[in-house]
Amino acid sequence: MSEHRDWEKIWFVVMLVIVAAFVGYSFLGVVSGSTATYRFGLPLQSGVPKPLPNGTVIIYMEGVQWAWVPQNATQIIYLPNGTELQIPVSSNVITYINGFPYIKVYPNQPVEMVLYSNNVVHAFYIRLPHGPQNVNIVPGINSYSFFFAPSAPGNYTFHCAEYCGIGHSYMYGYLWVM
Amino acid sequence: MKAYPRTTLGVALLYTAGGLAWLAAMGIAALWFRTILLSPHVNQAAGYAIAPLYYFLVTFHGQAAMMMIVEDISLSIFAFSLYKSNMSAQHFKLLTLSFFLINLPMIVTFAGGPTTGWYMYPPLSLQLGSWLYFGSFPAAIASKLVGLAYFMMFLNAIGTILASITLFVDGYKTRPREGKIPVFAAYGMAFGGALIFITEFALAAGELWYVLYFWASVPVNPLTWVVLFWFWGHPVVYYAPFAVFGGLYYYIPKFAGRALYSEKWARYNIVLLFTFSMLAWVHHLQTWPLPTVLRAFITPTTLILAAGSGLTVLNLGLTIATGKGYQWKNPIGLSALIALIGFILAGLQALILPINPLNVIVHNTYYVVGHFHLMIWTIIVVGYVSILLDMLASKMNGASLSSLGAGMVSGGVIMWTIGALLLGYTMSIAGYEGLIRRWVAYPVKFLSYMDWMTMFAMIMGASFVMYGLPVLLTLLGVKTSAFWETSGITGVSSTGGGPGVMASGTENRSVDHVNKPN
Repeated sequence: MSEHRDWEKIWFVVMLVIVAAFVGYSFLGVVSGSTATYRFGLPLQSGVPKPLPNGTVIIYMEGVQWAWVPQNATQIIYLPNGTELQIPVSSNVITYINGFPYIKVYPNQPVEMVLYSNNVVHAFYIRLPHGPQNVNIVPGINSYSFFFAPSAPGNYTFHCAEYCGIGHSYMYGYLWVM
Repeated sequence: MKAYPRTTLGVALLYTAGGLAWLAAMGIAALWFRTILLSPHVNQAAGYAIAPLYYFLVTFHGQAAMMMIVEDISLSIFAFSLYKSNMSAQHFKLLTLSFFLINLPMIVTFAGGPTTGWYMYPPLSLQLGSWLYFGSFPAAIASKLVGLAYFMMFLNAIGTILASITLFVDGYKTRPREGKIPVFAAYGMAFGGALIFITEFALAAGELWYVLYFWASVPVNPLTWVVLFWFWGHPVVYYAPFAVFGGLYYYIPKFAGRALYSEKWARYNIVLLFTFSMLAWVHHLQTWPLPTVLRAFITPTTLILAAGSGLTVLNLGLTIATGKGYQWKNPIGLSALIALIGFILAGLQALILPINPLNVIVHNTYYVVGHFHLMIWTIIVVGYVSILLDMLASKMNGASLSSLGAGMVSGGVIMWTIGALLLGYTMSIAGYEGLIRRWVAYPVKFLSYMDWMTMFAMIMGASFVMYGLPVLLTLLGVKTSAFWETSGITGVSSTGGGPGVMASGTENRSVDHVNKPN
């Protein structure tokens, strides 16, 4: 009988340590801001840097069946006295090629996506060299995705990651790092 | 097998038949959409042309699995666990009615051509255009028909609730007068019974809400509906594997030649698994706009649940390790062992999922698809095979598998598991690389992954036929003499030291027909 008790205690301690380690890692990710879903996304702009870094381009992006529609873009500029200006930059930042939207940014530029849907649930998904963004968009609730553009020029595809109907897999566009 | 059984074993066999019938249909759907996925459909016109069929097959595949097969086999295991524990079902009319409520109404749903995905999120699933056939009618009629389709799904959920409550009450009434309920039946009571009838109400409520949307214009709030849905949508994945755990606690000690290492912990674990399986539901929604505190809550709850699963592995692993040499050559013993090993290998994939910084990397990708399919293919399917073989031996009045039967089952299960591991891990690697689930069109760089996935799926399809044939024919009572023998031992025997004990053909529950170890 005693052999049972020993193994059970060992198991309990080992599991306690593992659970504590994983939860601790997760918690540190939240408070340090390295966790994309907590720090730079999701409801009520939780964790999005305040104030936004100088030069941040804000894209107002609508998800429809089945396309991403970047509707507007502004860029944050701070005057020497600290006043924040939002400069309209839609014509410089948003373009379409072959019917797909391209968001033009420069290397390392801070980007905030304000994401919303006019119909069904979508998800904004982009794989960047320094980590992915993966944020669901529920109709009626704004979601946010904040990230820095990659340092290497090129096109980085963003997709819809939540099944949204038969055109789901053709719902994509590009982050164009100039 | 009888369509109106009046024995506990008959109930188990009836639910088995339902599960296997839908399993065959959903498997064919899977192979069909796997062939569709052999093309990346970079041409949009071609992609849009095939997409409705693809998404219907995907939806059918998922809904047949989650709303019928899982329930059928969980209830089947539950009934059989009662049979093996000298307990019994009593309300056979009710259980038969429930069986048909679970398995028939959704034929109407599928006839409507849903392309909603099995978790049918609103508002997509409220769009008439998501229904290929019902949606093609004028809007006034289409909305009535789609409402009817959801009502049929509601009936399916009611059937499940009815069956699980009935078996639970019957089990309770026929529990041993002295001592505890045996572990196998206790797991059946908890996970084939109580867990189902508590959480299935969430699905029934979600479906009824949809019905009311179409029939009475009741508005649906997407976020509320989704949170409600996952209160069923997550625990449902445990109905079968945790019921199978009960089977493993029963069979593995027999084939290891010793008592279960720690029955006390097997019983404690019921409480832990039961509670935390319901507290982990929102871990499917970590990328959703939900309060941070709620998303943080599910990290420890999911990990504690994983620790409970690990406790099962430890308990059974120590039983094998300290036993008298495991009889893995017996198909029942082999299947139980493979189920346990497969559960460990599939469980490893899950470790990163409740961790918030890591979940975002793989959420909605094939990584998750690979994980849960590998779980299904090992702990559920192979674990169920071990229980089913004993069930069939009981049906055959204690006969043992012939060398042909044992060879087909053992060979099939081994081949199946190899294919499953290759396919599950290939899926997960592709998902980690960025392959999103439910894409009928995908970047060409994933084409070779898709080719290999289809190849591995075909291995699994072939092996399913190999071990499924003796099972199916035995259920139907066709050519059973080829797969079973009632005297003497040839090749691999289920009975070990001699012929199986001949049961009376009715409810002989007190003997282990096929499981006596050497």
